[in-house]
Amino acid sequence: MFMCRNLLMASCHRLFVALFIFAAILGVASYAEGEVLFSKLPNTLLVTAALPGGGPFPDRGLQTTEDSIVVTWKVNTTAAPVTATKVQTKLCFAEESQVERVWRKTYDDLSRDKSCLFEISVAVFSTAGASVNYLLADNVPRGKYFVRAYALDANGSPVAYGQSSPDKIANVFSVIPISGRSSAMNVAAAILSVLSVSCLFGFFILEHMLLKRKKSV
Amino acid sequence: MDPHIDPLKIMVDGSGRVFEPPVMAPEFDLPVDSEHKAMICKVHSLARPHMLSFHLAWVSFFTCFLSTFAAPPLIPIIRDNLDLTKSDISQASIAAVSGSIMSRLIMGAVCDLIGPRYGSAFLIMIVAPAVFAMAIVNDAAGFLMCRFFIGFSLATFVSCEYWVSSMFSTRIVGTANGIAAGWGNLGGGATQIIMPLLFAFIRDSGHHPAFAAWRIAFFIPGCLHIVMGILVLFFGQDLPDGNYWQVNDGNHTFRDGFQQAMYYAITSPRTWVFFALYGYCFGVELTVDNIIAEYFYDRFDLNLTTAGTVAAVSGLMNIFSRPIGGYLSDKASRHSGMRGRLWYLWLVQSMGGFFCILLGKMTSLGAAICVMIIFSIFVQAACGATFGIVPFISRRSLGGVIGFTAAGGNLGSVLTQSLFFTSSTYHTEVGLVYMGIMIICVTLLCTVVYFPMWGGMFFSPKKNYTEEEYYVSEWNAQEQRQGLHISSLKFAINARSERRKEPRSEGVEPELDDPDRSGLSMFKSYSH
Repeated sequence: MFMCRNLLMASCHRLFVALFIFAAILGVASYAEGEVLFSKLPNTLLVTAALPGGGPFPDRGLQTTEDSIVVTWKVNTTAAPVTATKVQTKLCFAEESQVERVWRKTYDDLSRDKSCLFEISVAVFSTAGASVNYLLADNVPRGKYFVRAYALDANGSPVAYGQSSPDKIANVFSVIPISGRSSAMNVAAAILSVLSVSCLFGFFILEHMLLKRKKSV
Repeated sequence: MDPHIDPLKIMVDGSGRVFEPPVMAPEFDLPVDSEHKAMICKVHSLARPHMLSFHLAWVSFFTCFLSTFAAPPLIPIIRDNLDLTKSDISQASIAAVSGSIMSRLIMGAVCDLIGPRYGSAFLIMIVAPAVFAMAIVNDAAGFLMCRFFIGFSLATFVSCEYWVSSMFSTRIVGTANGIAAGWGNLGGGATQIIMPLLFAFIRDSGHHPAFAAWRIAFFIPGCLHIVMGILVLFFGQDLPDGNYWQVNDGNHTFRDGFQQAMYYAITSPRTWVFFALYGYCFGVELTVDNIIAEYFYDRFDLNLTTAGTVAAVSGLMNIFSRPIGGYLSDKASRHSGMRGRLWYLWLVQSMGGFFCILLGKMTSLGAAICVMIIFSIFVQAACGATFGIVPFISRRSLGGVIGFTAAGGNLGSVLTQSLFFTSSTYHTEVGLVYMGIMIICVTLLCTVVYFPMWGGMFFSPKKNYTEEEYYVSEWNAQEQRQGLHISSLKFAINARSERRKEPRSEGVEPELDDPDRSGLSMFKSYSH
């Protein structure tokens, strides 16, 4: 029994050593890729977001799956020229929608950044620019947003950007989400809840009636 | 007689060593003792009433774990739908485990009153409306209320253990309880795979928006509650001879009142030490069930299903790590008695704390998964090891001690979540490091545990103090004159196995073997 225990300990020891080496290799490997920092990107794109019919954004906010926005981007001719193949536009959280929600935090390293989680479109890069009509998707949560465009090179790495809000506070619009609920769901939940409780008490009462009948027999 | 028994064999082919000859009872499929409790646990069988009740007990516990932890893997979707902040999410997670602190304490008395079958079924079916309500919540307050009420159902741990203890005789009750508790806890792991898969299926094949798909997914655990409740009511049986109402016609053995039963649990300082200790193995397991899927989703950018699968691996370790934890505690006891059990518990739980610190420090996915697996194994083994010691704290108030320990587990989860995973000032990975440090510090309480007849980790036992003095002292002179202390006396004689390197007295005096003993140490040794 003592020998068995020693063998077990030895193989456990080997297993731990192997796992640690594996973990160390993986840890080192994660630093091998290069990182693109947002602070180093030049602001060479001019981006605007507006209602399709023009006019200011409504105070109550835009309803997802019903309202759309028109996102327009073009190259700022006064800024330094940039070579890119594609332009990716994204819906980004305004600063007040990031408060107390660390899963939407802004990181300078763009591979870790979580502030722009919803992609609007990917278009071919041209200095004249383009615009796209975007219907707000059904999984966009409640909050305040602005639009950002990244110019991507052939590898898909961002080389320049532009955004509709200068500081993530001004010029943002509100979005109202769908609730996901439906009347069918409400009815089903109510019926099944009543079923559960009534089955329980029904069984209890029936079993007692049966027992009383058996005992009196 | 076969000198060496492999406890697993007892499950597989039923050839366990028995100290008392089975009673002739051809109406049962399994060999039974004088109380008609089964003497073997055939896991692959559905023989009525023992094995069927065993499976109903652990599956209903599994279902409750499944629905209590159904929300965490879907948090990334729910937090967007309900516009939750980090503190909303963590308060709801805390509420999920705090509801059952009280319900676990009360459940023992409820089972005494109406039987474990009605106890389980009542809890499962009363909580089902809360699961359905989760599908129609609108805001943080509703989310918190639903998680709170669903969390009540974790008290099925007590009814499951109570039911299994009523069905299996003392030689095998430790093994049966360990399997039932371990496999029930699996629900917390299985749900992390099942819910994201359900969500993805409903969203993609059913063409529902994400915000509707997670709500529809919650109907599945809810319906499972109803189905399990009905199965328990129709096919379950409280006792081997029938249900409570049929058997309890006034001739039952002495039962303490609720307050009296709790008194010997509350007044023993060891109970409070284990109240704290269990919070840092089981409590930590509950905390990790709550936060780990979201952690992998956010930190390593996995999609929902993958994050859920990774998180599930942690809970799935329960399939063997908790039973093995108890088994190795018994082995340690064979070597060094109670001192061996205490050192083993301290070691395993501290290793859990160490790997928790390491988990917070891992920056790459592969390493984090490896460390999480090792951490889960140690933490769950510590849970098993705790219940290797708990049955020895008090004999008269065994139910009370178990209830207190279980409640302490939940309280530990409430504490660790409030301290480390609520505020936005630091990230989850930093919280994990702090939690690991706290586990190691609290586990030092093992050094304080002292049994006068067996000693502690560093202290020797009192001279000439016997197990009989310890257990029989729970009965006053009048009760002893009435002979109410006999079962404690029998237990004390058998508990001599916890002495260091003393000859075992198990099976030496078969006439004193008491089939009334229940909830004895997990995997009490069957061989010398």
